[in-house]
Amino acid sequence: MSEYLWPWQSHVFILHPWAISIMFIVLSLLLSMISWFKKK
Amino acid sequence: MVRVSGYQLFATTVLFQLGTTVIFGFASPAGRDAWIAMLLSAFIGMFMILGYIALMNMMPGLSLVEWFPKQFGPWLGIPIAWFYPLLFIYDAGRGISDLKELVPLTLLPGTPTWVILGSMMLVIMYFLSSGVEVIFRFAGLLFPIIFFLFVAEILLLLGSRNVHFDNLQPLLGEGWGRVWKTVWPFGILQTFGETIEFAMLWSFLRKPGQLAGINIIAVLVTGVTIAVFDMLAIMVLGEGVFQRNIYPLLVLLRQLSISDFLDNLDALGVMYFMTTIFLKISLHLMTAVLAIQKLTSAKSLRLPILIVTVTTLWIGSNMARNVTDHIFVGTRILPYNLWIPLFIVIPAILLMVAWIRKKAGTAL
Amino acid sequence: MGPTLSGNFEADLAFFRESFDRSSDIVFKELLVCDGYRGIIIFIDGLVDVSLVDMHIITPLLHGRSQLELKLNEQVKHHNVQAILQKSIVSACQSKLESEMHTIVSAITNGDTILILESSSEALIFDMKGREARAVEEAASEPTIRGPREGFTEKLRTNTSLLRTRLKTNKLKMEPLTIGDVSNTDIVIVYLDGVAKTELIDEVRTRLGRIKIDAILESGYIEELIEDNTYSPFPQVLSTERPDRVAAALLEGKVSLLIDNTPFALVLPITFLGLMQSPEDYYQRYMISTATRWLRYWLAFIALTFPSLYIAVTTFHQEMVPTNLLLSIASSREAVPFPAIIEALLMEITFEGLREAGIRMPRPVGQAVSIVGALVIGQAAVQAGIVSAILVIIVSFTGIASFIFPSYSLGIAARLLRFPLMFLAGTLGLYGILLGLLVICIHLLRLRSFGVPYLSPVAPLSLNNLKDTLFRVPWRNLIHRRRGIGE
Repeated sequence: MSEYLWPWQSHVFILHPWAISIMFIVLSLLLSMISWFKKK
Repeated sequence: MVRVSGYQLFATTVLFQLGTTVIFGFASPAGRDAWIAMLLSAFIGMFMILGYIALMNMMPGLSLVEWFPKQFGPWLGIPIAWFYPLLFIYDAGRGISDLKELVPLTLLPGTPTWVILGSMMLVIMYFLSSGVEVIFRFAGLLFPIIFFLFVAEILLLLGSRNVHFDNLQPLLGEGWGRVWKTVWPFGILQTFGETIEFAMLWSFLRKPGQLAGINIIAVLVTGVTIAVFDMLAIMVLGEGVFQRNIYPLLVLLRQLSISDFLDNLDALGVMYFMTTIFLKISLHLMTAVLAIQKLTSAKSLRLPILIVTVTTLWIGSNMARNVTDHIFVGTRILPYNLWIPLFIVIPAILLMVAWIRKKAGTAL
Repeated sequence: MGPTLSGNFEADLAFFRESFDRSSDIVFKELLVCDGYRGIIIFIDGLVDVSLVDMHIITPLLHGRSQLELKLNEQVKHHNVQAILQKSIVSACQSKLESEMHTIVSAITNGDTILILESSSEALIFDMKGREARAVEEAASEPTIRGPREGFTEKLRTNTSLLRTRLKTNKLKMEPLTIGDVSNTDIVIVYLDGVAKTELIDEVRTRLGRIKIDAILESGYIEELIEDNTYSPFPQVLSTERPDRVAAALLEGKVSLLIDNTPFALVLPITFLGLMQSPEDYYQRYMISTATRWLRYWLAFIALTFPSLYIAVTTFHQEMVPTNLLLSIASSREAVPFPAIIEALLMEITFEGLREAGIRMPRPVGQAVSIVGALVIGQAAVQAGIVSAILVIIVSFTGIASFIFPSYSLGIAARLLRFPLMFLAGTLGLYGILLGLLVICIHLLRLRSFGVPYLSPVAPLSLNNLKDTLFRVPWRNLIHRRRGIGE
């Protein structure tokens, strides 16, 4: 499980190519909360 | 207000697009037809960029990350917009990783990696905190120098006795197959898809009407330059070396010898290559920082710059276990997973939505 | 409104005596103007041309008594004795009336002569300055082969006249001001009306107005107090002793500051490429000048990077050097116990020390120092195996190259930056040099001099102005005046 934490690393990326996409989605949702909060 | 001249935008775009291809060569899987692949990629890439420009014109004054909230609304648009700075940071990390492999190989075999990369990141931080205008001026300054060096290199190579035109033949002997495999998706996306980053910067242009023209000329210049270098590399090194070597253009430089006096110039070559990578990484990060600033309504850029540079340094350092993995990811996997959705699919949807909206006459 | 002359002669006199007590050079000359009217002349000996005072104040007053008596009797009720004196009796040409004590005291310290008459509420101030000053000689720090051999001196009035003779137009404006609470130094802002931008002139006035300091002893003080970025090693203001250089700058729309007591005038704004120009470029034929310019740029680069390149190549990138040269470098370095960077640092620091010492050396001893320098450091050090012969060549060539800068301050910046580059070369080889050059480049790109980007016209690119930078284009093509700075 721990190797899913670093999806940008090449060896992880090769084995689980979708991991980084998921990370992006998660991060982007988290960061969007900052944007939504600031927009209020 | 930052005002950028047409020339500066042109210079920055070209140097950005040249980026890492100056060492890695372009489309080497296509073998001796790589230069054809390059020209094709440039041609198709140009239309893609024109697509981005169309989006720009439909939402004048807005930058990339502002497009999505405008068309898709804040709840969907903002998360989608956030993808882009994350991607830019990842791309910057890839650039750092390239450096991590290149510098110990050619310049500093003994030096610890963190010193090499850390010092580079410090300079990049200084660069970013100087503001966008300085970045454009730097490119404007650098462009003639780099091109002068390119021309010198080409002339010297042609003058040496190593150029064999027949290495290029038979043209397309293996058919179009492998050419197309390189053009799509990697060829187009690598250099030209990445240009979508510039959509963060296009609003700084002094005369927005010039946008399309500048980009077309830039793509032309980039395409021809890289194609010429590919051709030269093949002519001098032969198809085999070109395909298999990681840094074919570096090997190319090593062949140069000026009247048996100055040789082994690859160290110098690495220096000017390094400057283009430096600029490309800085541009990745500057656009990321600007995007973050827009998305978080931050007042000063200092904190985003700090966070972004540290993050990039971190992920860049531990990204690749070895160079083969790194390149494999970069050419086979990355384009499919991240680039196609973010450079093609989402912008295409955006374009359609914006166009439909315009036609229907509703404004949001 | 401060205290003014009271009209009580004794009291006023006592005030002045007290202000200037314990000053051996203050002169109080009492006169009897005509029966009943006492007068006093006050001035500082050394600042005043005493013969003028004798001729134009004292003589008319003492010899023109009868005339004066006549006039006074007519206007006995008029207390405007001073005005009569000023207009009819005294023959000095520059004079004014003043009643405020502070101003009068300032006038005295400034070198003016004061005449106070009994029962008058105003003093007469005459400008009869005359102090010892150097004659106009060649500018010591900026000699040229061809060109005028007049340099500024320490006297402000001489300097303004040197500019006036070159630009004989009433559009040449000279705004005076005083800066320095204790020194009260006279400063003149010089510009060509209509050519220099008004925003620039306003900005200069504002920045000068903001200065709060007790004394301005040299233009360097002002330079540091008004420049954009004090932390940069690069000068953002040009300092020069040559009036022709200033005149040329004024024609381009720049502003100049002349400061009393120093022959170094300031010119602003200035760009990096402007600092690299010598006025001689325009006096010689254009092809020579173009070639000289290119040589200058090349040597400037060498002065900055040569030692670093040596260190980087010999430490990290030996494969770049052709084999023969490599062998000879290796053999000359064989006896040296230090790594290249220590060796280079030793030599460079010694060289800089020699240079500094050379400036302060009294003339007769100077010869000995150059011999000492050449023999001891060069020859003997090599033979003792402390440094290699190659390095001596490099350091001396770098030293020569560093004299190529037409602007001394820019030369200092280059000399200074040599050292960080050497450190970077020693630790990170060519990569380090590249990073160092990048940092310098970025710094230059963000630096501004009074709003003008430091690397104009290269970045931002202005092809029109560029032709004068890279080449020295013949005068016919230069007729369109530079549009970068002024209008």
